[in-house]
Amino acid sequence: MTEHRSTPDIDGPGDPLVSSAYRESAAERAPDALNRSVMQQAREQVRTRFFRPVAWLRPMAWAATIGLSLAIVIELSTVPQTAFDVPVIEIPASGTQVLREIEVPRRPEANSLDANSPLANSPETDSPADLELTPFGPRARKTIADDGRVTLQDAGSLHKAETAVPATSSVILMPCAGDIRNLPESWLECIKRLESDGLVDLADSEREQLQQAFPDFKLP
Amino acid sequence: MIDAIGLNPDDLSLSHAQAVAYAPAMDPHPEDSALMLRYKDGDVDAFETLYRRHNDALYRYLLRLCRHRDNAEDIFQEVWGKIIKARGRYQATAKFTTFLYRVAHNCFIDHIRRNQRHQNTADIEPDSQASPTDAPEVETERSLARRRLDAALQDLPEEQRDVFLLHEESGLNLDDIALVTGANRETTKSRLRYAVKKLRAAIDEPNRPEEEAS
Repeated sequence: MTEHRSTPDIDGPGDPLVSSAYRESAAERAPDALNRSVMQQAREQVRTRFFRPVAWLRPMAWAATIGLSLAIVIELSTVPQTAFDVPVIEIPASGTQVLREIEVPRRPEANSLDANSPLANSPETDSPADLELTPFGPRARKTIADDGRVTLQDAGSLHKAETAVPATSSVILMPCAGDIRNLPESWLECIKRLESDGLVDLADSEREQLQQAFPDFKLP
Repeated sequence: MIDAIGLNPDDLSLSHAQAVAYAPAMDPHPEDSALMLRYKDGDVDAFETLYRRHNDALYRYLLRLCRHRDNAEDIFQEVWGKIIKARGRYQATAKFTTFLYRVAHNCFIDHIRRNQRHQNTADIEPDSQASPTDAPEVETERSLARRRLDAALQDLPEEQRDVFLLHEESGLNLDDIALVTGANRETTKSRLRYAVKKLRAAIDEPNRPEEEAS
């Protein structure tokens, strides 16, 4: 270590002879072990100080991750359960003729569809009547909600539009809709067609609604 | 800790930012306070420079104040440890030397309260600095004078020894020594005068009673 010894100020009652004698007597220097220990302590303290923000950020990152995960779980738990609980029924291709009402929640962009896609060539309309004859493939998947609305998700004939239509896009159908429900006879005829097509659950649902709408009508 | 010294913050000639910005660039021997401020900002080299300026003087001060080498080394580490830990709160409101010796003085006082071992007989021997050009008689006389001085220094009352050592080792003036020891200027001056008088008498007197006894 570099020797540094200040000259005392002369404003005090000092004595040059005493100072000189003292300096000849006192020539000790701090041991190297002490010097190394102090310098090591100084380095560690600086290192600790500059690493402190990183050590502080790590638990914060974990807390943020856990918080976001919990938020997502809570958000998912608040989604209506009907979207997940409705039964899924495999319907044959011929079943499409009894579907009366079609609702498309998210209509794909027309200009983004394949030119050969039937959806791309169809007119842009939300009218259930216009969508009534939309061709569905043999493996069309249908779900029935509590209110009788049917969700039908096609996996066959819409495959050409998959690049433009999101996977979650679905078609909600309501059989025996419109003028058919005005008369119990026509409604019952529709129900019978559903039964003949094997859509027993759908027919039962329609039957219950028919009974509620026309309590005096005697069902066979 | 610095506030305990009781200095006026308005005495600052440079702000923190100015001191940090200009000290390394303009002054090849930056002020102690500038070095400490650079260390406060993470510059370990600045602290090493500062440490090398003061480590030996502080060590001698503590060694002769404690009169016990192990105690002096313990206090020495404690002092620098406090300086290092206090760097985050350091403000250049006083001379760093005043700050350093104030901490050392307080650590010594705390040590006295904790441990009475310093009151035992001294276990340090004065370093010999014989000059090869001196005649043997002259060197012998100087060696005896150093021994007499060292013995007289150990015999001084603690307050007088403290003031004398601060005067010799720290380079502080009477006002700063008074600040370090917590006494007023006149008391400090009186203590130093008595200490120097006794030490001068020890140097001038070749035959002290204890030497005659030995």
